[in-house]
Amino acid sequence: MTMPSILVACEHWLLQYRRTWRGTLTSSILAPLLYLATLGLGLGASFDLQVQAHTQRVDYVVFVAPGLLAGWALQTAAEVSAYPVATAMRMDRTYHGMASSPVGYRGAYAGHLAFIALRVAINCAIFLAVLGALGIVTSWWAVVALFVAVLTGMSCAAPILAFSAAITRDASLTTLTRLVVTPLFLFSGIFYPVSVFPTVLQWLISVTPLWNGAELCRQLMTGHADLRPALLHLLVLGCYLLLGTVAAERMFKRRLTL
Amino acid sequence: MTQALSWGQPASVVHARGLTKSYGGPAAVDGVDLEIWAGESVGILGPNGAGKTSLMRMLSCVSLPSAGSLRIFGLDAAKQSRDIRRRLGIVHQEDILDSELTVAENIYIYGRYFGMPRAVIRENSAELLEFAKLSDRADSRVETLSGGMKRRLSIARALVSKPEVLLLDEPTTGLDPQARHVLWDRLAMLKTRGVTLILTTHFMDEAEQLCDRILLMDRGSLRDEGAPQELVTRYASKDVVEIRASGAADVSALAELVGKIGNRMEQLPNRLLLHVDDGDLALRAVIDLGVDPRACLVRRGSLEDVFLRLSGRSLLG
Ligand SMILES: Nc1ncnc2c1ncn2[C@@H]1O[C@H](COP(=O)(O)OP(=O)(O)OP(=O)(O)O)[C@@H](O)[C@H]1O
Ligand SMILES: [Mg+2]
Repeated sequence: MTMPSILVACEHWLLQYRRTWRGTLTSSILAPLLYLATLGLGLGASFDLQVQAHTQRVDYVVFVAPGLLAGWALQTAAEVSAYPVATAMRMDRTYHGMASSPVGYRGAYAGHLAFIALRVAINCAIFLAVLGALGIVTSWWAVVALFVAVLTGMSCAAPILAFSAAITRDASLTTLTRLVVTPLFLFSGIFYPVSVFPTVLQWLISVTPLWNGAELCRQLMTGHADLRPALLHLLVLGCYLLLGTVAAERMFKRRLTL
Repeated sequence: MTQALSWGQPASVVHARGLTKSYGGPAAVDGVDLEIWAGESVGILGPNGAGKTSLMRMLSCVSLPSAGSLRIFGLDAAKQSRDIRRRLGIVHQEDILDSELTVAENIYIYGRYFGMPRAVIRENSAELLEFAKLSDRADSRVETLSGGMKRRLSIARALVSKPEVLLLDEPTTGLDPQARHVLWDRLAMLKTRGVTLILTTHFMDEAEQLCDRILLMDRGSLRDEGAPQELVTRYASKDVVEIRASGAADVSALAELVGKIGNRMEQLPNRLLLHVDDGDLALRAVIDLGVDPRACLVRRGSLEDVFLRLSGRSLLG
């Protein structure tokens, strides 16, 4: 796998994206606005909610915004690394075309991951820009949070890509959404602190990529990041990214060199 | 490598020993030894399921062999597949195209996969579109093309990188006669430029037109090989008398009647083939025996007869 292979494989997805980016951009701007309106203005303001974030009580919208950023990274990752991957593997067989060229199966998955990273980064940057425009985020640490959000997205995207490359029926993707993506989104401490749960469940949640990502984003954006826990969160995210990439490598090899 | 260096001897393009592919069940390709030289055009013939595609995919350095050794251009296929693929043009049995991209974009992105500069691809692309007779559809999405148009695009796409070796798995399946002839001309032209052709086909006329050498494959093994004419001489006769019949019973009755004529006889469901040295002489003998002349046809022995004979004897099929 070399840099040019990854770049030209990525170029393929960009070529396709050129035709659809306007549509996706609209939803990229609209979705965070809708979430913030419902949760921050609607829920938060109606009940005059304040939430404990570390040592400090903050407005609900300040609590929920960094979590939503990480959650939005997951949503984007799930969207761009599930159906498109399954289609490229079994329907269009785009990957087979790449595997028949110098790009090879390695370039095929690595190039797609690169493109997914770009999509996640664009969506998260827009989300942050919206937060900034609404005055919800003021600290420059948000730029670091952007990096963490993209890493969170990729730590989810790599395993999802491996899974989507392995399946033989599209119905498995619905199962993935229902049993993995949605529960992750709902239970990873985005909307409320996980301290409401029993300890065992908290443990379980603390090894999910989304909780680690959301937690670190929140620490950064509320200005409470400590180095040690931050490194631990990064480590967990890095592990998911690494394991997902290894799984993707194996799946692509198995399916494309048969 | 010594071959590549010595004078007068073409370079080895494919060198396979004990090449085997199994998908879990019985081997689809079973211990194939194969040598192909630069500039040759080689056809692989065999019945459905013989293992042609499995073999082609290994030679394309796409599919990994289950056992055996494979060197392409003198490079180890297991370790240097990327360097090898850079020099190959591959047309798969089933079209692999990006259906959401346009015709021109399909050619463009494929050139990019080979690391070609954008300007060079654009330069070549007009000529390739012309060859594929798709110039007026350059901006159509591939989804909207007919089956034969997609096939032509697949072939054009494989040519964008100016490959040294072209691997074509049933290239003309789905093409109309005109498109077939255009492709044959193109392949003949590439051959004169020294491009090595490796192809599979179920069209015997195509194999006879294009190939210097035919490999007969069955149940994962290569059973025989030779120039088309050699194989015809070996397995068929110079001429063939075909007698049409109305059914199996009729064929048997005919066989009884004319069985003594010629070197060999082939009974098909509603045809009888007599392999003979002199077609006109044999035809007269057949008519003398009372067979309706309108049911008879004399033609040259062809690869088709070789194929039918071998599959009839279950060497193939
Ligand atoms: N992906 C696969 N998984 C399992 N078995 C396979 C696979 N591909 C091919 N086979 C088996 O390998 C054998 C050879 O198949 P192959 O496609 O190489 O034949 P072929 O000579 O190309 O046939 P055709 O003329 O129909 O294209 C067949 O028995 C087929 O069922
Ligand atoms: Mg085949």
